[in-house]
Amino acid sequence: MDSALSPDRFQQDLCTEMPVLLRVALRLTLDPVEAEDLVMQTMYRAIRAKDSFDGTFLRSWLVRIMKNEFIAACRSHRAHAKPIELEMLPIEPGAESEELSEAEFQMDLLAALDRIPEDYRLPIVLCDIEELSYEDAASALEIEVGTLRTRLHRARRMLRQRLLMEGL
Amino acid sequence: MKRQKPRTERWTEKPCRFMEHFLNDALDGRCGIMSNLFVKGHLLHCVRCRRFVESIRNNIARLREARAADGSQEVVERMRRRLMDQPPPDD
Repeated sequence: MDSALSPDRFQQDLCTEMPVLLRVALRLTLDPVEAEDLVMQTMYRAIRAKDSFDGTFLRSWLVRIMKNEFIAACRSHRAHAKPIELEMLPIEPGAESEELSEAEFQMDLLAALDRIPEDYRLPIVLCDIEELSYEDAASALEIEVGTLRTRLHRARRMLRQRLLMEGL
Repeated sequence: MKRQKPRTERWTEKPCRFMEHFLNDALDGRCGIMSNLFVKGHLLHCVRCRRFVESIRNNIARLREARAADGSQEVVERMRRRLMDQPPPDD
């Protein structure tokens, strides 16, 4: 930890990472209220563990804390993310020609992403959405860079297949 | 954008198996000079791989657009205030 980094400065740095953490938390918990709680827990945990931060890349460090908090919460409260509705809605006659707006398509895309298993979803969230490097994302997820790369490529394929299957 | 009938992925929509990692690496700018040339050469004659690259690129672009329009500023502001105003609770 950089000794020149005051507590106030550290909290300000945490605040700048909040939007990213909230988006990642949302894709992790699949619930806006749980996501907000998870980010706050992460913030408090980070403040308490400030001295263990090596000062290199705050975002990776925070995502790592958040993932561990999420796993701990799931274990202690059995508060797994809400089950995803896997069965597809029947497509009504004439729905093939239904025009989708860009916003609707983005929502469908995010919904398809949320149906991908967590181990594959997070590399897409970190690398493709939040634009972290392979190295930073691997550090955040505590996996090897090669593993991250393989999961990311597989996840992209899974997402593409889901979209094709859903006719998007 | 048209919604079509649900279906499985056709073989014509799959990229060449040996190219998938190369194509993804190229999209991420992680190919060396020789690999890049190899990918470019392959894409010149392979429609399936071109389609694959195009769809992955589109998906990434749209996910980033969705990020920009996520409308979470209000929630973030509320969390900021909580963090600044309240001390961290004890474990």
